[in-house]
Amino acid sequence: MVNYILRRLVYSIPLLILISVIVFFLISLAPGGPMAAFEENPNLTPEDIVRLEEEFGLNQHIYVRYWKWASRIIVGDWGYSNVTHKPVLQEIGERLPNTLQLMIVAFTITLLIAIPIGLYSALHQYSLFDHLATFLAFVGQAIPIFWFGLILIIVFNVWLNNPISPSHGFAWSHFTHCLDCKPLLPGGGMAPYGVDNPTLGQRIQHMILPVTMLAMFGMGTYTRYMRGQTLEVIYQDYIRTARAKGLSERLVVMRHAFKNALAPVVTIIALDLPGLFGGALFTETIFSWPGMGRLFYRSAQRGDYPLLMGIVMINAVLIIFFNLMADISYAYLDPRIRYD
Amino acid sequence: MTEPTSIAISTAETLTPRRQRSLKGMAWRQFRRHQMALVGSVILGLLIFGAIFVSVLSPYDPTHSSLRERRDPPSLVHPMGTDTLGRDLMTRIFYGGRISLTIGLGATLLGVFIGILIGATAGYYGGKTDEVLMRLTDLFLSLPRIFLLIIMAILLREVEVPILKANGNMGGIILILGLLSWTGVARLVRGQFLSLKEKEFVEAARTIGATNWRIIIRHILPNSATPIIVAATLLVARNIISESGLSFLGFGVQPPTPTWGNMLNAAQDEMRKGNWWMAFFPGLMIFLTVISINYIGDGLRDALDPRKVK
Repeated sequence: MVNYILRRLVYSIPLLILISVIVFFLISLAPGGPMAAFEENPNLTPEDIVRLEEEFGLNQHIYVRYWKWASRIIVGDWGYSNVTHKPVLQEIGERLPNTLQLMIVAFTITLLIAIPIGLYSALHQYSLFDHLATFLAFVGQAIPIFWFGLILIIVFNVWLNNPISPSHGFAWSHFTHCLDCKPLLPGGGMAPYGVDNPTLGQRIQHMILPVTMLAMFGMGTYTRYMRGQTLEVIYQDYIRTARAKGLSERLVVMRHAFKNALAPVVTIIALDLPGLFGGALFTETIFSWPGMGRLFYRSAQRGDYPLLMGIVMINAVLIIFFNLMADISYAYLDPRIRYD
Repeated sequence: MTEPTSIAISTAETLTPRRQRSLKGMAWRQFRRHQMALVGSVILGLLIFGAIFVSVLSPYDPTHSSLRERRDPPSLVHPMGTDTLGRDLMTRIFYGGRISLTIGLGATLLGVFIGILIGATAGYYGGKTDEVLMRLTDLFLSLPRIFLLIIMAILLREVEVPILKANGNMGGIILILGLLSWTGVARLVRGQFLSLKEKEFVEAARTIGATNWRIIIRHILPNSATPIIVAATLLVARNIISESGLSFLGFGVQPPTPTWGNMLNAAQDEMRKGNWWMAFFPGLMIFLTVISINYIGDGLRDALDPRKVK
């Protein structure tokens, strides 16, 4: 097993290098590039610009620049933001935990809903539940999650109110008609405006809508996939054997069907992870969630290339890491893999 | 005299097959069985019809603003309401449909073309070529897609090529979406080629001296058309979502050219004020298009799968 993990780790190194090359060359095509900020500065003469370019090494060949950039990346010097002039790694480090918090909670909820539904659907193929679940999975796959996020805001932040009014107390009608009530759920940020140390309750309240939106990502796909994979295994001989030797239906499903159906699902989920980061970008943008996705969005608007590069690299590292985790769990679920 | 003739007729009747069953005919019969695919076809058909004929059907101009009708909720005069400038939303939605559907289709054609090229080369030649091309595909699969799309879209703004700039960067968006949407098709085509290239008909073609590219294009490719068609159909939906996502963030098609995505972008602030229709209808269009295409793809998969024909 250790051998297997090490081999996978070694495979991921060239992948990371290639990604960094692509990103570096893409960004070096950027208009103005790293000098844009200086060129607009009226206090600098053209001679100053040339001198600065030399100082930064920008007059050198692009391969040389890539080499220098890459060797600095390895030692943890990721450069500075064009806008805030703070170190890129610090800017990302401040937001990464928020993004991971959002993603992990949402993703857990997605799996907790999608996998049991897919399994149950397959075990009761062509039942009313199955038809309904399959239809809803199709709907879920087709809903653009950014639109879903906007709808959530309209319904739970704009239309519905917290039924407890400060002046009139609780009333059912306050849900829809109330002048001095607060919205039912907050529609942005991680905490109420101006609150630095929110209570756990406030934090959870602020998470409900963004987490719901992000949890929608992949829900339909995983449900359908889990259903399909369960149907693949449920008619296998070993399932019949398990039933024939008198195992309870519960054990047959949990020990034999579920585990074998899950292995390929893990792979598809790992392949989908880059998309989840994209989903987080939309979620954070819509809900002003101070994470990496929103940072990327703002940096893209401002042309803050060092940050853009840093975020893509961090994303690539995380994606490769999660893929590795998926491979390991796959090897755990399906021992045949380890002997390849 | 009369009897033999009648016998002859009845024999002729029993001998002629009741129905010619061509491959296309069977596929169509199978497709019709898939009710949701039919519903999807009708909805998509209506959307395309509306997008094509909106200039004739709608009494409004998509760019004409009317100060007195700003932010009107849906009514008989404006079935989907009006936007912040008093433009008729329904008219803009169908004009936007032209752009969104064109981008979805264009990017898919480009993506499928690249995918076939890479997949066919990898699968047919195998060995080192295959190894390199499949590593490249893995690389593209592990790239954070939307992030790269955004970076490419920013770079695109500075490119001064008229064909890419037309219609608020429509050409450019087709290009970058196409460049990032070939991986699935490439893997699929490679798999098909790996198994098909060992078949007798390929052997036969080679024996009569067909060149490699002739074998690839005339012999193997048509035989792997079915899964490619299904994958391409689903890819159109994916590209429409990508385009609308990019435009929603403001990096895609630029206003005043309407697309469903940038209409949602414009609606973001309005919706927090309670003007729900500006966000609801453009998104509904994306949803309807995507679910229709997905069901059509599902129906095609069933219809073109010979094992499923009863």
